[in-house]
Amino acid sequence: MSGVIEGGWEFVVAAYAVTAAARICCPEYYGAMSAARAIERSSSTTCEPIGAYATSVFLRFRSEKARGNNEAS
Amino acid sequence: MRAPSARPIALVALGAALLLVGSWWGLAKAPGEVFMGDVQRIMYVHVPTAWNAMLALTFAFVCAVCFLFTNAWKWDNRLEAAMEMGVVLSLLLCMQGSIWAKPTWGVWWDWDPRLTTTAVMVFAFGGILALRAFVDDPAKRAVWSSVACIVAFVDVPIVYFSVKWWNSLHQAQSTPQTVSSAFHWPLRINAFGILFLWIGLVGLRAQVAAHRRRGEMAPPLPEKPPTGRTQVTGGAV
Repeated sequence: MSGVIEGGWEFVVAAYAVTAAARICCPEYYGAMSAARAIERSSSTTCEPIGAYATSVFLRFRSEKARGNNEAS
Repeated sequence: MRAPSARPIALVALGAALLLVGSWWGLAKAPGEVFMGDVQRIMYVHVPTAWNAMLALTFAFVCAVCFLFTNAWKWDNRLEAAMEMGVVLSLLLCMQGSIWAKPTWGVWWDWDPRLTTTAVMVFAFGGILALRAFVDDPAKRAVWSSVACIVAFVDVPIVYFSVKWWNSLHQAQSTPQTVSSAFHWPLRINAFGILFLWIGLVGLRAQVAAHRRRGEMAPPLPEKPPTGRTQVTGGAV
C-alpha cells in the first residue's frame, strides 16, 4: 500500500452534484415556477419548498406576493 | 407585497456565476493533492460551505441580539432567514464531508469532535426553526427564538476550535498557512460565490418572513352582513 488514494472521481462528482442540487441549479426551475402559478390560481394554499433551496425561496416569494395581491383585491 | 429589489437577485446571480467558475477551476485546472489525489477536489466546495455556514449562523446571532435590544421586526425577519440558510449550509456541509470521509477515512461518519459538534449545531438550529413553526404569537416567537439562537450559538465557536482543542480525525482548519498556494484561488472564488449567494437568498427570504408576519398581525376582516333570509329571534321554528 502506497498510502495514496487512486481515482475517487465518483466521490468528487457526488459532492459537486449534491452542492449544485441543494444550493443553486434546479433543471425544473421554470417548470416549477409555472406549476406554482397554476397552484396559486386554483387554490389559496401557499407553495411550499420544491427541490433546491434557492428555487424554494423564489417560489415562496412568488406565492407570498400572489397571496398579498389576492388579499388586496 | 413589493417586487424583489434587484440587489438580492443580482447577488444570487453573481454568487452562482462565481461558484461555477471556482468549481470549474477546482475540477479542471487545480492540481491533485499528493496523498488524496483527485478526491481532495471536494475541498473546494466543502471548506467554503463550512466557512459560510458558520458565517450565516453568526449573522443569525447578531440579528437575535439586535432584535432583543431594539424590538425591530426587521431583525426577526433576518434571524429567521439566516438561521434557515445556516441549517441548509450545515446539512450540505455534513453531506459533502461524509462523501469525502468515505474514500479517505473508510467510513461515512465518525463520532469525532468536529463531526459531533457540527451535528449538534445542525440539530440545535433546526430545532429553533421547528420551535418557530409551533408558536403562533409573533412577539413570543421572536423573543423565544432570539434567546434560543443566542444559546445555540455557543456551539459555533466550539465547532471551529474543536480540531485545535481535541485530538480529531478531522484535519486542522484550512487557512493560507495550511493549504498549498496552488489551491488558494478556487477556494477563494467559491467562498465569495457562496457568500454572495446566501446574502442574496437571505435578503429574499427575509422579505417572505416579513410578509407572513404582517399577514399574521393584520386585524381580522369585519364579517359581511348576512344576506337573504334572516331568522327572527324567538320565532317559531
